[in-house]
Amino acid sequence: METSNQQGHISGVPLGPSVESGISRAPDVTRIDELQEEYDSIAIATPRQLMWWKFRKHRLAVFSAGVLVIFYLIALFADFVSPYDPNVFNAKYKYVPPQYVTFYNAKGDLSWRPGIRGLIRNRDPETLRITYEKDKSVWYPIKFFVKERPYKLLGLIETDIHLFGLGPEAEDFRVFILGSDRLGRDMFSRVVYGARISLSIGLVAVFLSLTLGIVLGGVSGYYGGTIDNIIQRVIEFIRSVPGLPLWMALSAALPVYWSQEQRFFGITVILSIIGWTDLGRQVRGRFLSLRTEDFVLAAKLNGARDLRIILRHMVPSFTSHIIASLTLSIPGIILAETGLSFLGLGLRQPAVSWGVLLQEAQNIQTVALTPWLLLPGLAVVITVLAFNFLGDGLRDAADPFSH
Amino acid sequence: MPDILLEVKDLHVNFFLTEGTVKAVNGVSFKIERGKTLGIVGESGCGKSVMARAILNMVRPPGRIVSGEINYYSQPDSPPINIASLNRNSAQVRRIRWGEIAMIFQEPMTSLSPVHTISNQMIEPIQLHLNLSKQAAKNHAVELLARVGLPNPEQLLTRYRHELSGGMRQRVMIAMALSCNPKLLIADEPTTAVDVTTQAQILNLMRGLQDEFGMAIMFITHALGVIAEIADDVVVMYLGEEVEVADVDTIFHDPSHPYTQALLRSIPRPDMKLKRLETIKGNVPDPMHLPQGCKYHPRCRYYIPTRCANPPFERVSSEHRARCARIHDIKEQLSEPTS
Amino acid sequence: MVKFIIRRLVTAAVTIWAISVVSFVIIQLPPGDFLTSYEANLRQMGENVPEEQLEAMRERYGLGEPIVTQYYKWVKAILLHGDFGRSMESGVPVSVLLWDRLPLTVLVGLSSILFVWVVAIPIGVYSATHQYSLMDHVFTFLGFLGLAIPNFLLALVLMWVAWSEFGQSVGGLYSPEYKAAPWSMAKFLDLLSHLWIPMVIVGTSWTAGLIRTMRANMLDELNQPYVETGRAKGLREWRVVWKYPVRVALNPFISTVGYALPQIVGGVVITAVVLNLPTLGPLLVRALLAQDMFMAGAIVMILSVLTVIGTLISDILLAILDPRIRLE
Ligand SMILES: Nc1ncnc2c1ncn2[C@@H]1O[C@H](COP(=O)(O)OP(=O)(O)O)[C@@H](O)[C@H]1O
Ligand SMILES: [Mg+2]
Repeated sequence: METSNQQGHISGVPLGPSVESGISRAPDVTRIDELQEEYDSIAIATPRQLMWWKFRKHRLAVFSAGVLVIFYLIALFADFVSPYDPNVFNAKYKYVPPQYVTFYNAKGDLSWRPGIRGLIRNRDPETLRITYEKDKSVWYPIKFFVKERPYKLLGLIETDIHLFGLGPEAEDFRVFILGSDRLGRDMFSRVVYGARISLSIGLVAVFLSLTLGIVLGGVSGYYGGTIDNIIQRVIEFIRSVPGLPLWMALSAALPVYWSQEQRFFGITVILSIIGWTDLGRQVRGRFLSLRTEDFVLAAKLNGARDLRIILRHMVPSFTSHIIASLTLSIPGIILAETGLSFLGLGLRQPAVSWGVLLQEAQNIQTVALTPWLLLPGLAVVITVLAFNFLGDGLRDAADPFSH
Repeated sequence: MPDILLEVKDLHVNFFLTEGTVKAVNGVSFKIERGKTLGIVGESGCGKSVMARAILNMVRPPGRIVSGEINYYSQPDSPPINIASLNRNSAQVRRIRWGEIAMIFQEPMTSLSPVHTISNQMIEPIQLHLNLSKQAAKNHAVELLARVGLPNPEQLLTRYRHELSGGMRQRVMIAMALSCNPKLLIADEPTTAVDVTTQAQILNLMRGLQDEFGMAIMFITHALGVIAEIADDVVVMYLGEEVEVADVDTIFHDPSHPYTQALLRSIPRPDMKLKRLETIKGNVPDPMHLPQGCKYHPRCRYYIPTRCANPPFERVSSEHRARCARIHDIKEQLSEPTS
Repeated sequence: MVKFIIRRLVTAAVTIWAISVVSFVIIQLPPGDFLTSYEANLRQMGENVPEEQLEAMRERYGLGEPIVTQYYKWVKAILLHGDFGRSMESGVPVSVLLWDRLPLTVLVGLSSILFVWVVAIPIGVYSATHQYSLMDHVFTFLGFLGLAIPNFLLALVLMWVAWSEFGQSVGGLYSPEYKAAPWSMAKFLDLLSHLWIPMVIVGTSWTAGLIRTMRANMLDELNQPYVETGRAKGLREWRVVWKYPVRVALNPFISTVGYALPQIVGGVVITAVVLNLPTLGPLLVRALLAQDMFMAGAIVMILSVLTVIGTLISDILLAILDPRIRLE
């Protein structure tokens, strides 16, 4: 930095007048090579277009965005997508392994619709465990848009149509495409319902973090001085202690008599109390660099009030970066909730989240015999991967000058 | 028969980027005589640094030497080594680097490692190329530092780069570059990043060292004024091509190419105080989309579309060449004292 | 340098003080005074607590006195006698349980960090020097995957694979025959043979993040002129890379370790539960589930203090390695 300006304006120097120093339009001579290309395209594209182009080139990010949209739609329409109530017990079908979908019906003929085989239940004479075997003589076709238990779509429209199911002909036989658990509950329905909490806790906690981060980071960067110092020390403190044990301790201290909703909110708050520091730092950094920029100064000279300046002029100018870092901080929250619930310190039954579901797979005996109970973990991994890819793409796109 | 040390023949260096190919060096040829100084001038971005790196075969992907020869004559009558044809990481190239051809860079600040002592960085090439013991190498380093005019060399060896001033850093770099008695010193804009007084001192130092060590110097700069101080011969580059080659007197007193002339007009001169400095109109074009025909034509005041389609590298006199189709017209035009 | 170390020491001391406050708050968080629940607990088990003993405990913890006095008494006992109070659940002094498990906790944490470094640095360097090569993409993808898989899930899957494929039950830090055995070379080797599993599991997610940090740092440094100088000197390419840019890129890397450390310690807690390691993690979870707050507060505090000390060491290490910081 110190050298670049010495170099750009050397024209007064008798020994070494730089050839291009006289060119009135030329900015910093040394950077012409790198900037030339950008200058050309910027002249015709708005920053937003530029971001969009860059983002679109990031194919994995676009794909991830698609995956996430689908996941959130599934969570939103969980009642429609899931064939069964996630909390309904069924003593007859405990620990059913995932059923294979086949197009060959009971007679061995190819059918146009998918179906599943029946089950023969055996009891292991030694261990007394129930095992299942495929019953090739029976074939239940899977039907779409079947009428099952009634529910309110989006909490508004009363209906009883579900995406798929076996319909009334199957009597009390059930489809378990992801298997069933210890109480015979359908894993697929549980994973679908679990998406609601697991996917929304990330968004809500990040929103809280953002609010905290912008308020505290903004105040810190805008005012500087003592306030800045205090807030910075707090951030440093939070970052220097191990988050997980602290989260665990705080969650454990939530009153036992709290309702599911209160608990959800409590956990969210706990997760965001520790998660805002990264955002806070970034916001502060941005504010520090923005503070001196012309348009903020101009607003100040015009007598705008401080908060107004922060909100109207400083916040919008770095939304794209914020969106990118928000996206990147969601996975951490989802993982934290999963971990807490897994240990029994986060959400609890009968709430259904992916972490709560994984609690069922806590000991190795269970996992070894019923590995499908780990499937909610796969949902976690896919979601977290997608958020990371998406966030990476957004971050690249938010930086129009990066390569 | 001049005693040639290095001969570059029709050198092409390209950078293959996803957005397109940058022809950074596009058919450059010149010779450097033993013990003489060759000046290379041109605006930034015209390929000077890339060419300098190519001579040490240090162009790295996505860049590559596409064609051409870099013949190095270690001894006056030894057969040449074509550096361009060697493997970039071969022992042969590594022996030439610093041992035969050393290089100093524009930014003395960043050309030194921030986390190693001067001693560590200086001793390294001495031990590598001269096979000296650590102590002998250290003594050698102390001598060199004293020779480039740095006080307290022993103490200086224990310092880090951020503890030195800009001028001191560049002196350290020069001492380091001369540590293995190279036959050629490539100086890539060594005076650009230092202040005026230091600039003069460093030029003086380099001239003195040249007398003492007898190495040839390839002096790269974007400032024609510096060239006058130090060079014997000059290559003027524009967009990866050489546009004019001549000895320093000819360049300053009888330039043929419109670009060289424009460069000269933009130097402030004490004898023409009142006249406004001229500038070259326009910018250096985007290297990815070079102009057709004469590369300089968009900025040239003598451009005639039909004439300038494919300018030859024309011989003006025996050692003077210029890449311009209108050399002779321009000469006549200039001699008429009209405008 | 001395000034720098003193400043870091002061910061660390203040942080540790803040940690003690937070831990004390954790102890106080559950409603009611813990002695009452302690008494109720014992009564339930059919034990009767003499009134004098209760009185002594009330005095010892300053119950009924202002909260600040209680905090003061708590800290004083820790500082002077290493007395963290009693576990409500088992009645054993917390310190006894702590010291029992602390060494192995530190061991698992340290070995995880070691693992992370040994893996992340070379891969980061390779990825940067071979940017956009096939292996760079592979490492980047594995890195993302590592970030996305929760530690405990990885632990479960590894255990499952070991169990179903090799019929081996992993978990714990010792084989059954060494559990109670006195220390010997064989027991130590047995410990090492178990240690690699938590090491790899905790390491994986952090390796991923640190590979990316190292790669980015390296990419920043690789185009610096001093690297070119090294190359121009005629050094071999690997020597240029490892002597110069790697050395410089390590500095920001080491300072990120300061922030990675708390996360690694946290990660160890949850993995330890799944793997049933004799470390502080499972103890903490058990204490929290049983609302045994003296225990939980003490463990949170010990883990945090360990982290602060670790960060302090890494900061001082950095100052020794980087002449620029030393000068500040
Ligand atoms: N590593 C690189 N990748 C892509 N293009 C490069 C690289 N290095 C140099 N160039 C291009 O080569 C051209 C010549 O650059 P350079 O030799 O540095 O110019 P200068 O004459 O100022 O030293 C420029 O157009 C530059 O954009
Ligand atoms: Mg250059």
